[in-house]
Amino acid sequence: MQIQDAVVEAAQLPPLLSEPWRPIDPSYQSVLRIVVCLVALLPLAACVAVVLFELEGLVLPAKLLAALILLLVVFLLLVWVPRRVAHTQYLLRELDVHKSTGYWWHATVSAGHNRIQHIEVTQGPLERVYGLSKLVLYTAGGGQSDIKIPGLPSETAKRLKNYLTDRITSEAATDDDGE
Amino acid sequence: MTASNWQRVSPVATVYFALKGIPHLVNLWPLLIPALAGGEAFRSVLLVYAVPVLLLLVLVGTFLQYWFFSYRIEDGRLQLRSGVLNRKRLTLDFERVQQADIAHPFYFRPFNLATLGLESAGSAQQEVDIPGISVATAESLRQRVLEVQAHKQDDASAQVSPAGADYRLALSTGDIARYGLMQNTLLYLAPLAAPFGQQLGPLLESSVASLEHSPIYSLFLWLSDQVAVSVAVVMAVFAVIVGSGVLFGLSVLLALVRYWGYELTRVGDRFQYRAGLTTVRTRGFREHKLQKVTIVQGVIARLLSRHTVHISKAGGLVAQQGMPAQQRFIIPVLDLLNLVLLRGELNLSRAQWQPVHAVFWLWPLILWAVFLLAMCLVAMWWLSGWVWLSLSLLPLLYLIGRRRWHCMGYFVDERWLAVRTGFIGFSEQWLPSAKIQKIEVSQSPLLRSLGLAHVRVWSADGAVTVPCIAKARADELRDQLLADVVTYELPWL
Repeated sequence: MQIQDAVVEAAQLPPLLSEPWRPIDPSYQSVLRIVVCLVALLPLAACVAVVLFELEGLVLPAKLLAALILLLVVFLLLVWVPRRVAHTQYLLRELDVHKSTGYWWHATVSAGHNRIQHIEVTQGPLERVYGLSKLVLYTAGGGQSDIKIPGLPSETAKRLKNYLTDRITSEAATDDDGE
Repeated sequence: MTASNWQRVSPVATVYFALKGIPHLVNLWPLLIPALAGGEAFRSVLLVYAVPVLLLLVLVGTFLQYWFFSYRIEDGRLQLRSGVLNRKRLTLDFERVQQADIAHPFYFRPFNLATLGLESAGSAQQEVDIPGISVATAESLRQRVLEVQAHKQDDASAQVSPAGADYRLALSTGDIARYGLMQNTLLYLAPLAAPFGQQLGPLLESSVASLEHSPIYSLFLWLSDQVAVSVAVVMAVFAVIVGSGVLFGLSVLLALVRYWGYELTRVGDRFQYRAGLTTVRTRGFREHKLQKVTIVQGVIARLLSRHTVHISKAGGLVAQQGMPAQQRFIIPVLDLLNLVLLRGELNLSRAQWQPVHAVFWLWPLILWAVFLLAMCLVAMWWLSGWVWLSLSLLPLLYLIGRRRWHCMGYFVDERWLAVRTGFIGFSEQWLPSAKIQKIEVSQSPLLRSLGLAHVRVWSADGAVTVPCIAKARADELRDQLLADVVTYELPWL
């Protein structure tokens, strides 16, 4: 183990666990619930159609499938959605930004401000109803390397975006001076 | 840098435009429908008139393209005008050029001409070719582009003069041929060739029939007598040997064409290689743009004790997905000594690999065992007790998993994060820790109960994972890497 402690500037970057993580807006639960219902609607409709038209040999499997889907939907609505929303948190610091998600499967993603390429605030129709927005931070890693923070009050999302954009442009300016 | 007038390229460039235009002829495929549906008379009319007309069109089109293609150098930027009906005008600032290549296609060489290829990165990626300019002009333009960049980087050491290289590596023809053996991409094509086997079957039979009368067949007979197996087996073995011989031969030939006369140089912080038989390519990158170094040794490479090194630079992910492999920055073949030297050039540390937790291989093994057991229990009802034999796969899986775990390791110091994987050969991925884009620490319920976590790290060219390390260590690693990222203030892209 050849780790030099000097590199980790502990004063500058205290461990994450003691930081005040901010939860996302609880009303994001409603958005997720509606999304779950919408997604489940199509396969359920297909099952109902099969039962209604009494397709030969398929009625029983369709009923079973429908029951399974309903069970899954109930589980998602009552257990997954509240936990998902309660455990989605973000943390903004001077130099970096973090997001943590998951109740069973934990994941914490982090990126330095100086690696953010551009920032986007998006709002779908459902989110608009609840006055929420999603903040997306893009890095140069392509594909999966963006950080998405859903369920922010639109006001907060915009303020975060402005703050981060300012930081990025000021950093870029100092970079250019240095060159 | 003064403004100059619009210049045309050499008329020889028409060959370039013609070659580039030929694929567009595919767009004329609907013409085939009347040609096929129409009668014999219609077809002959087509042959007599359509083909010459088409050729004429191609010729005129090519000439027009050449005629309307002009370029101008102006205040550190390149302007291009092209297109016959859709006129295009493009401006490319030298500052934004990521890559400047000079290609010497065979049809330009007798005329001492070259193609200058410029690539810019960023959100709007552009690739520009200026075909048919004199080699001297191409070199001076490329030089100018590099100078602008050097000026921008405020780096005096970046004059590129190959004579005074700080580091030089030339690959011998033998080594390049070895790369052909190591990197036998054609082997993957072998399954594709299987359907042709059915057509080949009758052909083979007839040729075997004629073989029977030839002296070669008596050789097969003699061989089969000597080793006491059937003639068919001897011939099959022979066919396999000849087939793979042809594949390897082709692969070696490709490697030689692509990397003939390979020479790698470093001047200041700029690496450059030059290689190729029919088309000589020059590729380069500046050290601060390096995003990832991959060192690979496959099975055959291990037998030949050689290594391959790939280097990805900024914009790599976007650029390289659509790019043929030959355009990446690659050092195709390195023996141990040269690998050590190159590692020194790239400032790679001396790695002390740290192991990951044994769950990395034990958990998949347990899953496999449970899966196999369940399958056996189910299959027993239909099949005989022989299914239990499949459990003998488990020791094999055990050995494979153990070996993979044994080869797995990670290393981190103040400059690099490296992950090593392997089974018979190995692959090492080195990321400059300051250029990391995103870090994820994740835990599945199982890992959480064991106090472990995965760390996944995204660079500008793909992601690497350090699996199954202690959660506290994972957090520490994340904090250390983040500190490297946010305190790094030099240009990196």
